[in-house]
Amino acid sequence: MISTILVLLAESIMRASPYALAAMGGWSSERSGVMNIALEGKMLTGACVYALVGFASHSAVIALLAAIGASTALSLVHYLITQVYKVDQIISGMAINVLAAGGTGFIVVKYMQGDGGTLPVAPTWAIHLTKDYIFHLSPYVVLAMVLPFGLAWYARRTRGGLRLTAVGNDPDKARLIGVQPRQIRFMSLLATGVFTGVAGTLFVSNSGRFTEGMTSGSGFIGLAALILGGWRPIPALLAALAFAVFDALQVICQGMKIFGVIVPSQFWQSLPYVVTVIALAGFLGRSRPPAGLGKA
Amino acid sequence: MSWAVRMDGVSKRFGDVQALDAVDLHVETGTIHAVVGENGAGKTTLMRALYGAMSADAGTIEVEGKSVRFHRSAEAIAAGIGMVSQHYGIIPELTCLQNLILGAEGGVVIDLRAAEERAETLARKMGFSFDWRRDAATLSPGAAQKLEILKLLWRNARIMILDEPTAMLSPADGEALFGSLGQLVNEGATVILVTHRLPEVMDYCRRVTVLRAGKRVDEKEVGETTSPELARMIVGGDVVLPAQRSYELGSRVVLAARDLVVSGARGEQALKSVGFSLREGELVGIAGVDGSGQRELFHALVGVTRLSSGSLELHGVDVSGTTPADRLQRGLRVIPEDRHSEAVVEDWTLEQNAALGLQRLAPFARGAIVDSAARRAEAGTIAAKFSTKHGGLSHPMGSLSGGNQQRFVAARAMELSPKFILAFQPARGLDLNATEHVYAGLREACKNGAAALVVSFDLDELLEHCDRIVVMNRGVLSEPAPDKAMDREAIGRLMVGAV
Amino acid sequence: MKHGLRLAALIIGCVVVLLGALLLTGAPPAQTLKDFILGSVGSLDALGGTLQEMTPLLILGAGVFLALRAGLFNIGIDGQFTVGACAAAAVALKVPGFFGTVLAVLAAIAAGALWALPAGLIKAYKGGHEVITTIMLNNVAVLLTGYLVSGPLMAAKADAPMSEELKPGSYLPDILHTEVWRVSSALLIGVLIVVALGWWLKRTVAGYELQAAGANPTAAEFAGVNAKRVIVRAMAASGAIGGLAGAFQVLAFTHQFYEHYSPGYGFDALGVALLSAGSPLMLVPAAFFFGMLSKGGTFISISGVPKGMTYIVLGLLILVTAAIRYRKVKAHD
Repeated sequence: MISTILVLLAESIMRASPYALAAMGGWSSERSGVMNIALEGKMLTGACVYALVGFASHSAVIALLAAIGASTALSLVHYLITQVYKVDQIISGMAINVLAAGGTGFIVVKYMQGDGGTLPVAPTWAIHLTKDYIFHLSPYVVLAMVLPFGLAWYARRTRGGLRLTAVGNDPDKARLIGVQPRQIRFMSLLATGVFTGVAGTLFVSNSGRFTEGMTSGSGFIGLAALILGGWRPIPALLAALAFAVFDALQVICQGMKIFGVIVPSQFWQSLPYVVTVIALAGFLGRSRPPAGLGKA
Repeated sequence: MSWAVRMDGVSKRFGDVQALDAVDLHVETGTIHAVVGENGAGKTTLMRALYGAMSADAGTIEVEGKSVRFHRSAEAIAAGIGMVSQHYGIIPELTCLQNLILGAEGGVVIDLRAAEERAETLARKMGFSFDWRRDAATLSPGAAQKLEILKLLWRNARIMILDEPTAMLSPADGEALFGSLGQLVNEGATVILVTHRLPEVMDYCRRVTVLRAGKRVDEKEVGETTSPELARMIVGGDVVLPAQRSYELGSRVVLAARDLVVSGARGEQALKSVGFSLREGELVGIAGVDGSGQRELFHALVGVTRLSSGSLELHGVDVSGTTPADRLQRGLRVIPEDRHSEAVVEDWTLEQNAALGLQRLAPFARGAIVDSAARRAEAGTIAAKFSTKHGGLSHPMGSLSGGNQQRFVAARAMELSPKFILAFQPARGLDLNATEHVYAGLREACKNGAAALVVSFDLDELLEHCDRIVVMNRGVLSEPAPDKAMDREAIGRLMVGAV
Repeated sequence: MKHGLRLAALIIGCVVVLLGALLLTGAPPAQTLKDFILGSVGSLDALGGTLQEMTPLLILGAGVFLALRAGLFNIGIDGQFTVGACAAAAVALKVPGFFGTVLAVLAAIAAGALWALPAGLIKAYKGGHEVITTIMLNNVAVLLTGYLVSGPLMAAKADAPMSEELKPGSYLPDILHTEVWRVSSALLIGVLIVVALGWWLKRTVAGYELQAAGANPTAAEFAGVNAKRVIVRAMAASGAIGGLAGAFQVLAFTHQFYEHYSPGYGFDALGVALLSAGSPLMLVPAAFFFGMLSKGGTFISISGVPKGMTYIVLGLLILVTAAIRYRKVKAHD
């Protein structure tokens, strides 16, 4: 029994990591007032570039840096169109997702056909949790679990965190007190790029390859975790973990009968989305977005 | 004599409006200097230029003898200038302490304990007290104003701009504020006070600058001028008395409100058992300090907020539970408080805006169908009524200046034989001439059998134009004694709840 | 002026990205463009394909357009399309013939409206952003229909999640059918919907009130419009149109339902609605253009230009359109 729980826990932490990283990317962006439905596209870009550069360089570090660079570049394009061109944040987010899907699809067709050999991955610590289960703990997973705590501290105890919160709630008042909203948002979207780049890396280094559309909605689950966590880092991490438990249960319970029926995998997969809708409907307490979210 | 601020020949243009036209402002160090003028005279624009929130087209600015050119507020703040804007810079989602230190945190990592200590020291010096860890959303207007003052002190501001600081304060809080300001000035600070309340100027200020229509009229020692003289300079010539009511009131009651109770945004009782009635032909004003419950009453009468209890009758029909649409059908017309967000769609044409609120009534609609020809004709009538300046009825509302939009909105409320006109600051952003026209329009509608209820924070405007004034204070409506019905002082006492 | 320069820079940037991508493919630009035109409108056969691609985009575009006019981003049109298609397939398989087809369309409309309803209700009464709710509901729609079509609705002999094929008696009829090309009545109905929508918005009091609520909800409330109710209804109506498009897709074109039914129509529909520049009738050329992109894109992918290219074109196009039309302009800037 205990070993089952341990395995479930370990699996959940593994699966929660990309969600948590995406959620933190969303956090830094949305806290500054930029609505971010483009997490998915940024992650996908990071994953694709990691694979592309990884095959070419055979270095996990160079591939990671390239992935972060690509996601960050895309995130800065996001900054450019929302803050300089003042394009609606929803339209721009959608457009970035489509550009990412198109661009990565393009790269796959053009450069990743056939067997490109094995991808370099970051070293992992092998932890023997039970007799026949080894937990491969990668530095990315550690980062994903620690980062929310760091961001929570950052938000409460630093100048940058305070200004971030202020700009996200009321950019005009913040400007009057001498804080530059655009500067804050630039930094925020930069951070979004870094976090989603690592999240993308995590995908590829877990599976050892890149496939078209491989993030399959994780960016949106990250967004859901952020919302469910009330736009706060640690609760968002907990929400990501909860979603990951659903994922893990789905694998563990595959084909198992619960109360005499086989629960289809789609049921587990849709839980994060359904729970988020229920949360937005106000049935799970009030989840308050930054007051200035989505405003120019 | 040393000058804290010298602004010379400052000009600023917004589109086709010359907001500032070569304005000079000279402020002596260690004094309270008043900047007065009507709404839209350019006071706030001038202050925004000084504070770096907006750059002027022309002119020079000197601060403490040094020529400066601010491109953003941060630079003005660094030069020792602080500003409390009319609508406060407090961000309700942050704590009091966070609001205090925002923008001047004093390090990459915030030392909360040290910050709280210094905050406490500053507060004690001014005789204020705050619970620093509470959300600023819980602050009363008076407390928010105090926090704003502390924000200036936190930044070591030597020159403090206060834009209409008493607009949302009770008179007691207002007096306390001037006590604090006096203390600061004694310690060498300079205060620029933007206001349209002359008693504040006469009682507390050393010098005064008068603006009118973007131009500086004069700059005087307060000791060498009088209230009436300032009033004349502000409005440009002697105030003309408008025509008073020249007809008998009708016998029918248009609107009867009984025991209205309405909840405010935070669940408090914003209206506590309010009752009154209006007769045909009557033009009634509601006086009071901002935030006394006028807004809630207004919204309840329009029907956009629900009554917790009480009843409302329009021409003898109970409309307590009906929608705004139903009341509009019965002859309610509204001039809302916030033109931009409540009265127009700026992207829409004048023609489209003409129907807003009247869209279900003939001739705007024939059944469920829009009658465009009739709408165009009506839009022309509305625009002509108060001579709205516009580039064509098919131009967007947003292309009009604020004053012209207000003319259009006011005229629209007098269309299609209104029965009951509800107006919140109907003269907002209008010059004196247009103000007279709008009130004359209300008067004419009343003469034709309507009744009008006007909310204004400007008691003099109400005294000038209304048949009767009722006073709102802390959610309670009261009426001055019959022999003091138009007595400025008696009404003023009711406004602050002093009996 | 400054914005004009910036816009020019943006457009140039987009063109550079496009040409760069095209160069990477190794395809000669002029030849690619020629192939693209040939493959989308160069023959009756190609034109028929473009018109087919255009049909769902036109109807979905109308749905998104209606919601936009009420101030709502119905990103969820994708999910509403999917549940509508699934419902239509299920009903048409159960009830064959003309009557079944009508029933299938009604079921799809109801399913689409129901799928949009939570988003409308949450937006109106809880303030939850419709974009977030509809994104979530889109994912649920894919999973739910994926389950249905790999379980109860799955065809007996299929090796992938797909339904049985409809009987020809259930098909939506073509208005034109020759050896070389065909035009479905779905397209005609789509055009009629667009015309009706344009008339309704411009000529009816209800249309006026919907647009007032979308443009300025507070002012609309003061003008006697129940903005909350408008939001719920507009969202449901938009969803109904999405469901209808799903039904037509099944009944007129694919004749069966399968997993991951929508190839990203939601975004394309948003693009069509944005490109129509605020005028409903412009939905028709906008949808035609998107249809061309889709059909022509498939055609040139055969000659080595990846299909991803089409998405890049779409993404950039929408960015530029939005930079021109959907800016947030503020008084003090």
